[in-house]
Amino acid sequence: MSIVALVGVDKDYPLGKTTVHALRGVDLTIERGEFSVIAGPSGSGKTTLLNLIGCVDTATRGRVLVDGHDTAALSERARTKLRLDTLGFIFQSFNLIPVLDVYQNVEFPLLLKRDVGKVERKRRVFELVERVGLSGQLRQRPGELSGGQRQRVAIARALVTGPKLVLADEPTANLDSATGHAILELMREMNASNGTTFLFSTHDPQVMDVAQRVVRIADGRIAQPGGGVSHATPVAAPAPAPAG
Amino acid sequence: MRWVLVRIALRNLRLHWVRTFIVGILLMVGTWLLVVGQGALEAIQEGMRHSVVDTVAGDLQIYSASAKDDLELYQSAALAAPDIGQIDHWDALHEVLEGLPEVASAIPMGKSLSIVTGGSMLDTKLAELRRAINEGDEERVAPLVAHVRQLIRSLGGELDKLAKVAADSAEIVEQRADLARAEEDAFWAGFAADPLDALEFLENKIAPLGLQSGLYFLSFLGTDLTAFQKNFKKFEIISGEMVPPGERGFMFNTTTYERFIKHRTARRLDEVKEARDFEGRRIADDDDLRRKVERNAKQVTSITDQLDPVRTGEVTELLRTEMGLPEAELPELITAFMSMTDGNFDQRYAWFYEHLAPRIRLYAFEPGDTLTLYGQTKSGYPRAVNIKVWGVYGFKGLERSQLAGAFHLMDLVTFRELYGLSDPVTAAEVRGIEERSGIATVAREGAEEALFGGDAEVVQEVASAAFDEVAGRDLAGLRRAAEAKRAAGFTQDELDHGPVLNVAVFLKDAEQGTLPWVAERVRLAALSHGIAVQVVPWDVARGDTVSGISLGISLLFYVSVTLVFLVALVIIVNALLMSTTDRISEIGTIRAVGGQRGFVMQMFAVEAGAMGIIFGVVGVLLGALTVLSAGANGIPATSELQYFIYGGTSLHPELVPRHLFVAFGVIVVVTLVSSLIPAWVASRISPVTAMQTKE
Ligand SMILES: Nc1ncnc2c1ncn2[C@@H]1O[C@H](COP(=O)(O)OP(=O)(O)OP(=O)(O)O)[C@@H](O)[C@H]1O
Ligand SMILES: [Mg+2]
Repeated sequence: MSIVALVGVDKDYPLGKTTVHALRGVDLTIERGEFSVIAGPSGSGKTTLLNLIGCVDTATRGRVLVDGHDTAALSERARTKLRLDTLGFIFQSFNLIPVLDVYQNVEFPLLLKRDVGKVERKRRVFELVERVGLSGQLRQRPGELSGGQRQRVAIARALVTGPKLVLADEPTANLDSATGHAILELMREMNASNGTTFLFSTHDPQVMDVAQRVVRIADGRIAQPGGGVSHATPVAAPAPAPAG
Repeated sequence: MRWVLVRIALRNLRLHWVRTFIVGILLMVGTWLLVVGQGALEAIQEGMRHSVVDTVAGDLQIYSASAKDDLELYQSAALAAPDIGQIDHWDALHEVLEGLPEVASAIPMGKSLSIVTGGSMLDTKLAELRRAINEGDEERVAPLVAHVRQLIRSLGGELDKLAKVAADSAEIVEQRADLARAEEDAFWAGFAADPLDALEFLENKIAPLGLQSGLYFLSFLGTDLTAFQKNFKKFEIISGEMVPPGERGFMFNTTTYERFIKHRTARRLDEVKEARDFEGRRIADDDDLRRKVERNAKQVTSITDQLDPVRTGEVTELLRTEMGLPEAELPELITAFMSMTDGNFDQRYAWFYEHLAPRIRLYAFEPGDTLTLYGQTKSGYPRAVNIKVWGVYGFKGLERSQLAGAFHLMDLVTFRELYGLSDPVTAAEVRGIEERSGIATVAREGAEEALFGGDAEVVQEVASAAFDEVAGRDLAGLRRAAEAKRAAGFTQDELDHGPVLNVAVFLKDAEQGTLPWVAERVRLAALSHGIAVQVVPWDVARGDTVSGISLGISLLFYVSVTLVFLVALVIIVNALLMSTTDRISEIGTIRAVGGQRGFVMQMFAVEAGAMGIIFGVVGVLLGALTVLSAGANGIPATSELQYFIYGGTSLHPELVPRHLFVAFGVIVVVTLVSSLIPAWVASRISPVTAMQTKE
């Protein structure tokens, strides 16, 4: 069973009197252990797609299956639990909890999972902090860290619960290219050692080189592999609404 | 407990310290107010209890089961006195009460109103003259005669004024003739020859003409004075002595005595001094004080009338020197002296009491005087009694409270006579006699209106007409009857055997909560002996006026606390709502990484709760400190009513642990409640927001 399967998924956003078709007829399958990239220009629907897979949003039409669960059929509570148990998130803007230090930020999802004991918690946090190379910054707050360091914390946080699928929305967009590379390397390494599935979005062509598989998306549609949609294609403004 | 919640909450409070500080101050003020308010409120309730229980009510009040009205110990003066019936046999009830283990003591009482005349300067001087003649004290006779003649002259002027309004001209003509005779030198030549005969004429014909200048309304309690003094803890003698057991007598209450019986000029000076010293008011910028000073400067005769020719000379000399006006006459001097300013007030006040006060009569009645009280019986017949004033009493700490000091005291036996209180058999007889003699035919309602309608100050000025209506037909007859009743004394048995209006009962253990049950037991005990009474706790007996004050104070407290908390609630809700909008991304992230809605709600509840606990504790401590220091130093009473509600000159709140817990509990609950809406709003924040926000 694939970890993710989307069948005929549409996502519409109402925008004033009109409707933005953010995703149109998306069929997509992600297998376990993949390290894949969703690539496309700005406004093409990458974030929307990750939101649906990440169970933070639901499709307007079509089915989204995550680890075998039809997300639309789940209650809000169950979807939240699915996020906690099965998914890990890495955000473009890191999204650490500002009042917690590195250790506490990484520990946070484990505290939400009530079934992890104190000792086990500590072991896992230390292990991940060490793997992302932040053992020296355990007691620092996000505000005291560089962008790259913050994203490492976010990676540790996303992985600490041992998720089956890690979603990362443009994880390198706020980093310089060297740091971005290091971060990608780190994720690649995690994927290799744990077999955790990684799915991230980007519109940075350099990033795509690292991926096993590149899913191209433009104007809300998945381009067929090898198809003609290129990242260089000028951005097609989504149907009627100009940005802003 | 998930410590991460507390950690996040505390960190957030610190991060947004301005917001935390503002909300915190509010919470602290609220808690402080709750602690201090509860302490003050309880102290006030306790103070009021003492003001009522220890001056008149006792723990329980007993009155007749067949009373038409409810007993109201402090009824408003504007209303007709409540008809509380009577308890026919005090001794029988007393015996029942003494047999009850709960009862410590019982004091019989009854309340009524009277007009007192006498106390006019002419009356007093004539009495002094008679004494001087009887004692053969030639030296005092001459100045007294001079003074009496001076007073008679000024009486002539007053009679002229009265003639303009009086209807009965024949009477006036006769009175004028008498007065003219008393002014003649020939009359006074006769006085030298046969002073007693001339005195008789002066006392019977002339003195009554001066009555209208000295009318006072007195509200009094007839009681077993010995028992009263022994049981009412706040009772104290201010001057004179207590009426000895077995004697008839009258005791002035110092509050009313100072306010209404004291010489008006002196009283006004006292009032100005008090306003200046305690309230920091100034004559220069206070209309009320300025009016008082002006009146003192105008009402010169209230002093000159009091001075016999010798003293007139003395005072004139003293004032000429003091004022530096060697040529001026007395009225002019007094006006100049009394026209006081803030600059010279204290010095002249002292001078007044050093030089002038000893030469005039400071009070209309003084211990040793005999009062003629005109009242009416319960059934509406006019009555008069002569009664000796033994002293002035007060209630400790309540000397300035008009509520507590509203009534004077007299012995129960005299009270019964004045009020026409007798057991049913005697009552029927008396009624028969009264009707046959046709002593007066004023209906009770009308008489009451005429006698006591309106408030005392106003009434005092228009009273002469009212007074004539009630008693004027046979003033001399009433006076004679009164004289006859001035019996030497009475036995305890006479006092005990007879009716009373109501009874104050002190209990051995007056636990407030149990009073209604004890009251019921007392009622049943009396009933089982065939005495049908109502028994009410003091807080019922005090009546609506005082209950209203108590309720008003409680209401004021609760309303202000509620207001403060409503404001606090709104501000906390706003602050937390701001906190949710500030933290949309953080909350979205928490939701995205797997935090349930409940977790977010808890986060806010803990944040609010932490504020409640931290600032609640500080507020409680500050409140406790305030209560402790207020308890130790006392909050001084600054208004007449405050003396009554404080139960003395200052309020001493006590620190009650329960108040601290209540305040703390309330503040925590309020903050938790106020976190509900923001918490709910926060829990609705979608996890999508975590993906949308850019740095
Ligand atoms: N909440 C929303 N309401 C209305 N329109 C939306 C909303 N979210 C996204 N869209 C629109 O849907 C389309 C897809 O947006 P999406 O954020 O998925 O693109 P993206 O590929 O992630 O772009 P970017 O590279 O800029 O992040 C865009 O046209 C966007 O304007
Ligand atoms: Mg995006």
